[in-house]
Amino acid sequence: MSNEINNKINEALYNFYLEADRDIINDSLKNDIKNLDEYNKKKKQIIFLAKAKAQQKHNEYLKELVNTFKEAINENIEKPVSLLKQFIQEKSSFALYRNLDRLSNEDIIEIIKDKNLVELLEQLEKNDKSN
Amino acid sequence: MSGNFFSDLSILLYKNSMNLTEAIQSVDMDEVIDRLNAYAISLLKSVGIKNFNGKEPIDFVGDVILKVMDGQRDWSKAKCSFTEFLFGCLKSEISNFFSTNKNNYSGDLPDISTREESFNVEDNRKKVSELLTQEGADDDELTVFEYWIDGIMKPAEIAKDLGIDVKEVYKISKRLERRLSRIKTQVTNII
Repeated sequence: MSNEINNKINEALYNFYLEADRDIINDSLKNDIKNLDEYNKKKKQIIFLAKAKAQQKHNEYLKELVNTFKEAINENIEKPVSLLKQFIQEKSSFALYRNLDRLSNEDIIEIIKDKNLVELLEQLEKNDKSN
Repeated sequence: MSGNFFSDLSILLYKNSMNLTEAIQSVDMDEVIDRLNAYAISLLKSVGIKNFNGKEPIDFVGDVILKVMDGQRDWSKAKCSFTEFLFGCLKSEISNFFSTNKNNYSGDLPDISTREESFNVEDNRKKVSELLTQEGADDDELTVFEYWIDGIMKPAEIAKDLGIDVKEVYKISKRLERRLSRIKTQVTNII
């Protein structure tokens, strides 16, 4: 098929599969998949592995972030330290922590894990650049 | 010093991991995988080969998703929805598979690169339309085909232009795809 026509058909089919409603996709799969049980088994495995990998990566990076906070505490860097103090004030179970040096890695994870750090850090980054 | 802190790699990585975790939670993975699998079947069927080194379409989908989760395919720089990003990665993954295994498939794959390109798109469009008609395509399929060749490929846009429900366009598109796959060899020979 000529490239131009072929490319247009390919692009149209890309859009079709991206947008088509669930019923159409289901019908399409029913016609094309010979062993639905096998397919569903593989699908479950993929979802399980993907979520596990996402969680694993998230935990690894969370640990990295904790180390960065630790360094900031040791070097007494103003903004990250004040950020951490702010979080501690909001967390009643850590309200008595006055000395940040005493915080363990697990404590820091506990303090920061529920925070929308991405949003906060982006805001701080912006403030940093504008100052 | 605080500037260094906030631009620290660990924070960037953390942000990326948050985005990826959020992205995977923001979609119905079961539904997305079905959609990707249907697209993989369509792409693999289009080359007219049945054996892909023992891989099933769902295996291509699994490979792509795990590469995204591993960071081998970088979602953090994408400027589209997560589903669209996965679609793009799948297209590229299957294309790479054929490039890597070119020798195994050279006898079966349509050799687009060496085929003399016809610049007369209008002429080709007419020929393909005629073949579609001979194959039993109805007016609706021919109309959607015309839209595609005119560069209007999004089902919602076609539906709006025709004043019909988008679900109708989905159904017509699916019929048209089947019809096109049946005439593929003839089209390749003629054009």
